[in-house]
Amino acid sequence: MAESSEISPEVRARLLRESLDNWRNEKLITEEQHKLLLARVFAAAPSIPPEVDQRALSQERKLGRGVTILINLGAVALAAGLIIFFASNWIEFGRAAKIGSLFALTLFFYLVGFELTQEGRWEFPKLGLALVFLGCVMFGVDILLLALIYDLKAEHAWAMMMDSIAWIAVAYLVKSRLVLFLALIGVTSWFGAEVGYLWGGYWIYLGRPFHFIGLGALMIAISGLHAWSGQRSFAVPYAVVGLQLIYLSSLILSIFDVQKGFHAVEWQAPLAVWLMLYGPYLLAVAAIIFIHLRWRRTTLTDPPALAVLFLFCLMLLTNVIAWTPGPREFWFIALLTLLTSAGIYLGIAWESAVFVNTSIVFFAINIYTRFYEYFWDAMPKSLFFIVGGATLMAGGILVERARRGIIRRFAGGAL
Amino acid sequence: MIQPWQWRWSRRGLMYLIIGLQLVILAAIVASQEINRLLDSSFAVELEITQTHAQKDPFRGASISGRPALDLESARVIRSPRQFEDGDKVLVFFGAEPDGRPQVKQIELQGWGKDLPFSKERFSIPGTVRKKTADRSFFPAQRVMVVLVGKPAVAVELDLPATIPIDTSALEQLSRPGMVQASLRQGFLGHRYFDNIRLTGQAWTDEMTFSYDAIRDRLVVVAPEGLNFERMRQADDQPLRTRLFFFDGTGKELNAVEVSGRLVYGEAHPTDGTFWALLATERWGHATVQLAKIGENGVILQRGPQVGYDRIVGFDAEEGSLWVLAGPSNPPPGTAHFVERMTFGALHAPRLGPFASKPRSVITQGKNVWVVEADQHRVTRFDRTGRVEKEYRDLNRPTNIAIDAGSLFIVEAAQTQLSRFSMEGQALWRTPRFQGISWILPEPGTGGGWVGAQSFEGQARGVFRYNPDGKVSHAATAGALQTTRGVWARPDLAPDAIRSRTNGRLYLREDRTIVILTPDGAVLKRIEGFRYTTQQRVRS
Repeated sequence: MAESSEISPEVRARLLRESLDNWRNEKLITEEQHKLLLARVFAAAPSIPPEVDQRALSQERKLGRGVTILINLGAVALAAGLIIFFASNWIEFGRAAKIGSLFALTLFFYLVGFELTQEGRWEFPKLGLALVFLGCVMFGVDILLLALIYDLKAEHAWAMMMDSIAWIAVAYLVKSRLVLFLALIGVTSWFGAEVGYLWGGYWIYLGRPFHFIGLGALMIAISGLHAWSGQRSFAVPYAVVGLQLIYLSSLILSIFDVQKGFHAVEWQAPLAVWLMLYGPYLLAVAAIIFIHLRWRRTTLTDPPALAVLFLFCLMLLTNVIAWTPGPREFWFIALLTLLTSAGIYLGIAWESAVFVNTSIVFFAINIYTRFYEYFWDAMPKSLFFIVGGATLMAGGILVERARRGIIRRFAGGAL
Repeated sequence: MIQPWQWRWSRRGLMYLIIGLQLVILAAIVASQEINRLLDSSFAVELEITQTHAQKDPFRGASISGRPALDLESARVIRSPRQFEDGDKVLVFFGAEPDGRPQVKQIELQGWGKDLPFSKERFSIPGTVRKKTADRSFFPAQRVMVVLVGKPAVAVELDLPATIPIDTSALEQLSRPGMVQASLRQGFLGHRYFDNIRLTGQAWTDEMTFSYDAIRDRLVVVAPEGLNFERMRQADDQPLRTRLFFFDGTGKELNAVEVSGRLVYGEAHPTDGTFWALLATERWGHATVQLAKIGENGVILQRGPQVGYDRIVGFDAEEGSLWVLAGPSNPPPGTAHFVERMTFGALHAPRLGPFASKPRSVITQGKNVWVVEADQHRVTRFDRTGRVEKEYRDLNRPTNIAIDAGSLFIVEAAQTQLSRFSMEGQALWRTPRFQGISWILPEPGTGGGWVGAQSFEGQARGVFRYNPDGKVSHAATAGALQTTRGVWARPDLAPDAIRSRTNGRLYLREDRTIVILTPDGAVLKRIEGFRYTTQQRVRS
């Protein structure tokens, strides 16, 4: 029993406890079985002073993190090496060699990566997930390179949609948040490209970025669905991407009235664009209703629920305002301020670090954007930077202290 | 309850299924292209691709891009009753023309059985209908060919490969703009592609100029060798060369010679046929030039002193001299300007002037020398001794002049008006409502002639015929003179239009192409480059 001598009894007890929790969450065992097994584990484990247990756990986590970092660095180095090798010799390859190497690399990353995950033959999950991630990236690269090799017209939207579907499927199958982040970036890119092209603009056309607000709302609603179903680790990527989409779009709209500059109000959007503008809101409403009916942790009169309804109406109103002629920057400044303030409030109410952190960052960006807009011309430049720098430092310290206090109070299960 | 091994197996199965689906997608992309070529037995339509440029990138390897020589503005031949919608997938049918570019004959919605096999007479290219070009949201992607069909015009983006792979070994030959002959194939699955790629000739850059040798009835094209990016990096090691291409009066290739150095412009001597040119003395630009006499074999026989290019206001090949400003080109305000003749030796009398502003051009014709002063709104006629014979003052910023039939024809008012004056200075007629007159050519002895302009009274750009009484009509057939250059944009010395005194043909510049028109205005030939006697395959 070499393993027994290498792993301390307390660490082994923790691993068993975590495994039991996972099996219960995955519904491999029932609640009763979980309790029974847990009791046996603790009965078998020696009594350990709490401070010793904590120290051992901390050390083990550090070791685990170190291994993860090394493995991920190794995966990055391996990928970089392969990319450099192929980039250096690509031009010398014939067409068959190019295509063959693309297929072989993709297959290698996927198969070896999957077999190294918990689901595979050789359990080395960190490395496995890193390789699967590279396989996902490789699939996107394959489509791009094949389009270049055969001189196909770049159908960004079509290619990105296929990439995103494949990545989402892989993310859920191997339970990788990293792949899920990649997939959500892909979905955002596809959505931007599809709307942009249909509307007669360019890829990720930011002349009318308010279409991303609806997508952001949908992603946050999907995050809620994951939280409801107990998949909290998967709720985080959706929340992060959703919040960033909403805040970034509002920020851009509050800085430049690009729509007005491009006379977008005079343009006719095809039906598909309308569907993509308002479809995400409908889906988000459906998700929110579902969560409300199934979860039953809150009533509609609770302040957070009222805040969500208010924000939803506000985001819908944004679409109406965006089509009106005349100056609209003020509306978007107010929108960003309200959204970030409400985001902080909801983060505290829901004990969500993601909501609190992201909203505080964008709240600060909003304030400094306004500071630049209104005081850059009015103030001497030296004073501008002195005031800006001093308030940034003071504000940063105060906000960080408050934020840490809030986050510390959250229960462990928060997003 | 699911056993762990079953769970694992099903996850593995799902994962393999997803990987398999991804590979199927990739394989479908590859297979559609490979099958399209392997099983294709369609008729090969020969197309010329002009203005080809070679490039090499790590992903595609060596390739060329250019524009297939197709007549893309075929509004007059389309009688399609259907109003096409934006995004409609269509087939654009081209008909072969015996002596010209294939023209659009028909446009049809794509559908089963519509993609008829290629034949000698006609072929088709798939395309997508786009919004009208007037719509500001329509920006055709770079290198996408857009054909305008019907009235009002419908824009169709043609689905042709933007680049064609070539052998890396062929890059050097294609370092300058080239002309390529390629076979357009229909493709088994309907994806058009090119094969049998051959280099057929050399095309020209924007620096190309041309002149007409009346003695030998031949066209001389001066084509300085452009330096592309690869060459620029090693420019100091590369000798500068200019090629002189000779064509007969009908545009048939005769021969080409290479001149050491970069020629800015040149003209054949009207009597002995020797070639007189301006030779740039620096590697980049032509701030200073020399007058040079060039032999038939391209050897420089004689060089003159260096002179600032911006001091040159006239080129007189007949006398073998230049008209240059006597002082600097930008003297202090209030300084008088003088113009003198410069030969291989030095400056010569007569000294013309003083002029209150820098003359725009000096033209020698018969016994007179004409000086155009745009800023002073004046044209002055001198005799050969430098004595002022007549000043024409009732003008509005003249830019071009022509002398014929005892009259002076002037382009004025920001290139919007053509005026005729008697030699005594009396305005005989003024014809406004032009836009962008870029050149004027009189028909000797008649009082009529031709002008090239962007438009006249709303008529599209082209060659316009003016009558002795000032009436104007569209002279050239549609399709001729698809572009005209603004007077201020082109080099002052190089003409954009020349008329042959012997046979009346017009030689016109159209971007990087020379168009030959018959005396009645029909397009005789479009010269897009110099074709070699042999073709060379650039893809094995």
